[in-house]
Amino acid sequence: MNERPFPHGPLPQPPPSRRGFIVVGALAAVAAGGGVWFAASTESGDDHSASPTVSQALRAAAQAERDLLATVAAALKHAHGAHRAALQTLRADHTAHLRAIDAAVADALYPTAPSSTASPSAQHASPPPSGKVRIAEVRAGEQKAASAAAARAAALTGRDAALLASIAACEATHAELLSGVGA
Amino acid sequence: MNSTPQAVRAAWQDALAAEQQAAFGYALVGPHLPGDRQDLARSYQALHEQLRDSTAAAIEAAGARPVAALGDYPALYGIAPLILAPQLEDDCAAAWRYFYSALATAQRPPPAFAPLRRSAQRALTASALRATRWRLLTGARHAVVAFPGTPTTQK
Repeated sequence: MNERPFPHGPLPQPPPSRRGFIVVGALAAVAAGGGVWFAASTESGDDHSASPTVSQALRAAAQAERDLLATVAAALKHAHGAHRAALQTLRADHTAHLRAIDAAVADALYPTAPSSTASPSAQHASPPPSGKVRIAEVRAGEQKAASAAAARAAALTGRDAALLASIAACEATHAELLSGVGA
Repeated sequence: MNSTPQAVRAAWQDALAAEQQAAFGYALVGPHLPGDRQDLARSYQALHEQLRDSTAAAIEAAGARPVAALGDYPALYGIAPLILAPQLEDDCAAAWRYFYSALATAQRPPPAFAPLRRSAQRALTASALRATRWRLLTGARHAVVAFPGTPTTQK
């Protein structure tokens, strides 16, 4: 797990009180349904299993990134101004995503190999979509990819899950970015 | 490395602390923004207050005492409102991603973790979206980040 990101030291504990919490959303019900689990014990071990499911999910995630890159590349052929700038941002992000997922795939498949051997999927670029790709189509693709990445993340454990969770959030922001430039 | 129940609890409390800070921070910046942006800040403040309260209730329901909000957040003062607003969201995104990671790295997680992971994903994405909206409003060059919630990889 990464270092704790939120810059608080130990926070002061409140005196016992009966604050009237407004319970919204599913969190409270979830926790109540799950019971008191804080005291449950866990065993330590490897958080990164190289099961076929893991590599399959990661490969699917890599393929999704390649598909997005191909769509963005096709859209870039006809894009200008703010659309072009936004698409270039998307391309850079998807390239970073693909690189990170490739590294995770390599870890899953070859856990003892040096990192230089990693790039199991980069050589298989997706073919570009045929015909002109509109910005609205890219936006729809990003929204769909965000949901798919979140679902893949939920099926994984360990750092791979956290990676895909973050990528899912990024792809949702891509759709927002494209909305901001008029898609 | 696997997370212990203590680490999961600490990450959850950190997420709550981030939401408390965001609720406070929006109350701070809101009045300094022009009309429509003030409305946006107010609506985002309400969302953070809801998430703060539901998170506190969930932590309590899980058998722990939720951390209390600080009386003041001196670090938030003196920052331009349109800089602070996305920072608040970035902090929340980082905290929720960390909580997600803690849940995902727990060995033999109880069934309650699956819906908590979904909630953490939703909160991470929602904060990343709000941060993006603020950056778009200010015309920031990089309105999005490749890995929301991961400060070391932000542009």
